[in-house]
Amino acid sequence: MRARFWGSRGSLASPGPDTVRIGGNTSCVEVRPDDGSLVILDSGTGIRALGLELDGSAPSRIDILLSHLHLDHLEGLGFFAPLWDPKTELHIWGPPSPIRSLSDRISQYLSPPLFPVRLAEVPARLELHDALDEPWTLGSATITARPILHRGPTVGYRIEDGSRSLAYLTDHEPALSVDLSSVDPEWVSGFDVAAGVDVLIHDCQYTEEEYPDRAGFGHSSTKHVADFARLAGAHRLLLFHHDPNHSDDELESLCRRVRELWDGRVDLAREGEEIDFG
Amino acid sequence: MYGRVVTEPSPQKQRHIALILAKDLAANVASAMLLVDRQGDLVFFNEAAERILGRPYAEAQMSTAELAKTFKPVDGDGAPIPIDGLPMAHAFRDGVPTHGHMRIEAVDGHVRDLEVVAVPLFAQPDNLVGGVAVFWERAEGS
Repeated sequence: MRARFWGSRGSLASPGPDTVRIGGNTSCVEVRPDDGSLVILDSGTGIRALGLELDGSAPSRIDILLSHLHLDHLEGLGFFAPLWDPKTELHIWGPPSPIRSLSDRISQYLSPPLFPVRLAEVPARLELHDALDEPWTLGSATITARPILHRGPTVGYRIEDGSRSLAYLTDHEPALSVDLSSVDPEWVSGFDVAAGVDVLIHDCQYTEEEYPDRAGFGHSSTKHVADFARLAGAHRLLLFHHDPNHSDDELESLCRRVRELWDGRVDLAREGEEIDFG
Repeated sequence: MYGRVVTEPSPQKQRHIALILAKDLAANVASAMLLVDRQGDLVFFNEAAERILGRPYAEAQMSTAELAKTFKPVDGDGAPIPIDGLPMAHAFRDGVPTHGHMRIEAVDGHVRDLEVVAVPLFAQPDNLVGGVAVFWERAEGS
């Protein structure tokens, strides 16, 4: 399995000189299971460049796994080149809602006046699915989705391929009203998705000083992500969903802080970088 | 290959997010609340419930059957309420919130007259993940 970041910023795309090293595009991760199939985690603004790179080499079937439908995870979809190719069979998976279908919710953005074309009018053959409550296979990979703590229906994904595993918990506040350093794992959101995983991609939007004013927004601080990685027994942690107001220098400082708090391997998720599963 | 995995997934260690959120709520309110899992087994009650039941949760983890045996619920006429007659059992069976009245014998020896509202927790319309009961002591003469 291989994986690559096309966008690791949270909330809002933030291009500019202060974000050029880590990247300003919002959430998008390309995952290539060993059989060569294409699974994409979220369709933030980063998916535009991925679509351009696929030009002429896109597999006939593409699966996009949406963690949730906040705009920073969805807004790139209309600019994903394979969407405009009638040869593409595009499967979009997302969190189930007790009220509205996935199609209705995505169409709310992909329709006028927010977008010039309706979802039903795009040339690609679209199939929309609620993320299943039991594992399913995409190519050689096994996908597990579980609801996690964020604002509105949101799922975390675990992808396993052969002996490799990756967990994606991009917008996640597992520490809301519990102390992750002492709580029983059975009461921790996201634990099953991340338990023992090779690579954990996890929300780290705030410093410990910033968090108290943003508790309940659905995101984690440096301490929370360190505690969660320790509790889950992850082998490697990639900090994700970077705050749009954090410069590259501030993000590197934030990463050093997580390294102080957890002795596993910790890095920032950087746009353009491939994930090392070694 | 695309499809559902037919092999048994590894056993879950984590509670459903709806139960985790319900526990967070219960832990932060002054109303007495208890939580049961999808099997109906007690998984948590809060401090306000401890005062009514007469025992801390840490000492009270038990199945519904054990719970009923411990607290000996009876109706207004003093007749024992079977497990499947408790408000939570009705709520699970009918899929809707259920109100009930009972007297229990708390662990501290006091008999308490309670009103109970049991609410089934559905993560999706066909996915019952547990239930929450809110209860309070009836005012005398009510």
